[in-house]
Amino acid sequence: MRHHSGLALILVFGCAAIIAPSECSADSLSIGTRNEIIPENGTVIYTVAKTGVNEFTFLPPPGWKLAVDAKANTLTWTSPDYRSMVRLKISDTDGDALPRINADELRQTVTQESESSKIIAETPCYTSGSSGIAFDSERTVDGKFQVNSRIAFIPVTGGIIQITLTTPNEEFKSRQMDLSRFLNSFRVVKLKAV
Amino acid sequence: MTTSGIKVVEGAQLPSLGLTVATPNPLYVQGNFNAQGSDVGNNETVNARPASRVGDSINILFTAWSDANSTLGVGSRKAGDTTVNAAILSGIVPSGKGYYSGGVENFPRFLEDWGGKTLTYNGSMVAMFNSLIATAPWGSADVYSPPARNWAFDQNYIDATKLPPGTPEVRAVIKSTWETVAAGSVY
Repeated sequence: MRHHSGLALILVFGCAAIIAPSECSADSLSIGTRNEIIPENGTVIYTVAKTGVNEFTFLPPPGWKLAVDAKANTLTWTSPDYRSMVRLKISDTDGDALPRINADELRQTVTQESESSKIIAETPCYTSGSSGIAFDSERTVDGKFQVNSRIAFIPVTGGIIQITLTTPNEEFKSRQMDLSRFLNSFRVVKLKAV
Repeated sequence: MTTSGIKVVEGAQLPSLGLTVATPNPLYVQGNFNAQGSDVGNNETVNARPASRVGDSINILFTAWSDANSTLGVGSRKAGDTTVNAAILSGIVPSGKGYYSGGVENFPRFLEDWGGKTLTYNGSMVAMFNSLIATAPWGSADVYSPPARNWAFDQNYIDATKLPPGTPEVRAVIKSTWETVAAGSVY
């Protein structure tokens, strides 16, 4: 029942061609939108991110502001009140194999985020038919602000995606809805080699 | 994230006194529930037992649902005509913050392609609270296609003796007039 119409690229980083993303170099990141008709919901505007390897489509939290770091293959959305953030980091890997993720290494990645970072929960997580690991962590900023993060690492064909929700401690529970919707809408399609 | 869920299967025939299934987790009901034979597909509930399902969220699945297909595209999850006769007391993901709840038509949640199929439902729906586990907002692609909804209120619920087991009750004390009766008074 998925219906695709009108791929509209709005931002392109790392290459000159706006409407021919397949011509971009392999390490480029292009961002666009795509309208999809969802039953009983009408037309919904998905965000489309393409690397040289995969195409990712998803619904970011509504009304959040997007910032792109093309060099780091990272998209960051900030909530209207600037208190919360969702970050998508895409790491392409060589080959078509599903990369293996190492829980110990990922734990280190999480705790290295800040000296005071402490992992408080670890669970499997799923999106787009793939499964990975998610960590809940907490840390103190400036010695007084309690900040929580949920960081999900999910291997997909030809890459690993890292999705992070960071929010003040008191909003951690309510903001998980934004992350849930993001993950629920997330789809990955492997691009054919040019 | 992974949490527990409860799936009820082979519930077409219920015990004579009825059945309530209650859980703090998401509840999935697979196949016809509390409906057999000629009662399948219609709004007649004279043979239905008192039944309710109570959970963090209530999901209705076709008999042929396969857990293995749950992460595949919705085209891999084809539903068929199904009948459910039960009250539903459940959580919702409320509208707000740019999200829509999906409305009462999606109070029982769907995960399959119901295109061209009918869900016959007789019961009563009560939104009790905000879901704590199944909290993803409604409205992503590739989740479900809606059924034709042949839904009706089960008239059995008008009769307090036919309510499902464990139905919450509210009782009220009503103030009335009174007077002190003097000793020796005759009424």
